[in-house]
Amino acid sequence: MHICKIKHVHSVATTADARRLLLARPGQTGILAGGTSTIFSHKKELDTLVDLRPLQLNQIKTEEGGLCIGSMTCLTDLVFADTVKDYADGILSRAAHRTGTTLNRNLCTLGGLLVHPYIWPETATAALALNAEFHIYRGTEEQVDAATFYEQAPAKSLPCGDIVTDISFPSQPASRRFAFEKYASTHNEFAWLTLAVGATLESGILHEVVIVAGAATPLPRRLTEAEACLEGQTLTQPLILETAARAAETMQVGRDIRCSEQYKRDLCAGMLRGILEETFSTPTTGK
Amino acid sequence: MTISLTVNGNAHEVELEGNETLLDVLRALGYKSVKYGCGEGACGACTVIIDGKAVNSCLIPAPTADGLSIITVEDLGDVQKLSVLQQAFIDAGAVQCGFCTPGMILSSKALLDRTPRPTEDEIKDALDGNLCRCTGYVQIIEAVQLAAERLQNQTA
Repeated sequence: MHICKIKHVHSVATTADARRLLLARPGQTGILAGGTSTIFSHKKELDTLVDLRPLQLNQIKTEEGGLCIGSMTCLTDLVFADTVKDYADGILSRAAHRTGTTLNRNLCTLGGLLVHPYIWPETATAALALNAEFHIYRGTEEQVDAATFYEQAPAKSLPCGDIVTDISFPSQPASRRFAFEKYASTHNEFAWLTLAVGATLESGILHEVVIVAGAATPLPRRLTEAEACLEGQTLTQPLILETAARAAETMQVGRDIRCSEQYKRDLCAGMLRGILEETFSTPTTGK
Repeated sequence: MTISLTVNGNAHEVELEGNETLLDVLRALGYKSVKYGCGEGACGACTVIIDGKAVNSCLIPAPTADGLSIITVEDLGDVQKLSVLQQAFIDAGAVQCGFCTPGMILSSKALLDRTPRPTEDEIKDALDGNLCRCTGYVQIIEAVQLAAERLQNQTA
């Protein structure tokens, strides 16, 4: 494996210092968070790292019923934190748990995986379904919602010098349910497909339905036509089958050496059917 | 560039080219229990403990290891005095070729330090990044359970 030849590692005291260093030598200077993206980086010109670890961006805070998670929080901390397990039916914790192995999760950071969702798309899938907001330092603090962030490749959403400091996950009403599923041939394998589903269930009617697919394309994508099938409807078995078929039919699918495009569509239909039957067909019990 | 790191309580200063991993550095320093398996974070043969967490040393760029305190299996015990975990691996027959064993033991140590009485699922979860091509894992899980029991008895 090619590993960049790093000549300098700068430890910084502020995000402003980090930004200044990144902008001083664009392309040759990268961010060091968990470190794994540096190992897998294909940028041969990268020779300097800006070490964000002193900034302590690894806190998990509850905020107005939601969560604010530092971008350098490792996935293991998301798996074990009660606040994360208790939030949104635990889908963020579950997505983190289904990412890589324990050894990987001890190193990989939430921010790193959301910015580089190509190998492990689990948390990005959940973040899009949860309508997460990225707090980005660009000289000033800005917030970008996950839907906007993933409209284009993160490299374009984050020009040189931009630093994701935190990710906030909004408060979810008690009537809102979530589910996350991943399919891979083994527990730890890279995902063939991930699905995250959220919907508000009131008097048996589904509202604000969000269905997100990951690993079908490089970036997570909402399956809006399948969402439309469920919006304002009462869940019935024929509707579940219709929605699953619509999701499979309309999902964008990129090339995957492990299976055919049709296989992935069939997978999508099967997984979504299971989620709808198991999570959204029973009365709301609250959180 | 030069980095300083502590391995099993011993301070080291290392001159780097810049493209080494922590695994390369540890082996060059003589900590040969840390094995090169896959080099991409899949097999766990290079496991070390940093800040109480078991991690793949092959995924850590060496220039970023400055100031780290690292534990390898050499810290746990030696042939004259094995640790409870090491002895449990022998007693449970959890060792065959031995290549994966240091990583298995360190992942187990990180688990038992955090969760002294782990369930079988928690053991499987903690060891999910350590591959063994010989034993079939059953004896390894039994070894961790045995070590947990013995450590509990020691503290009782």
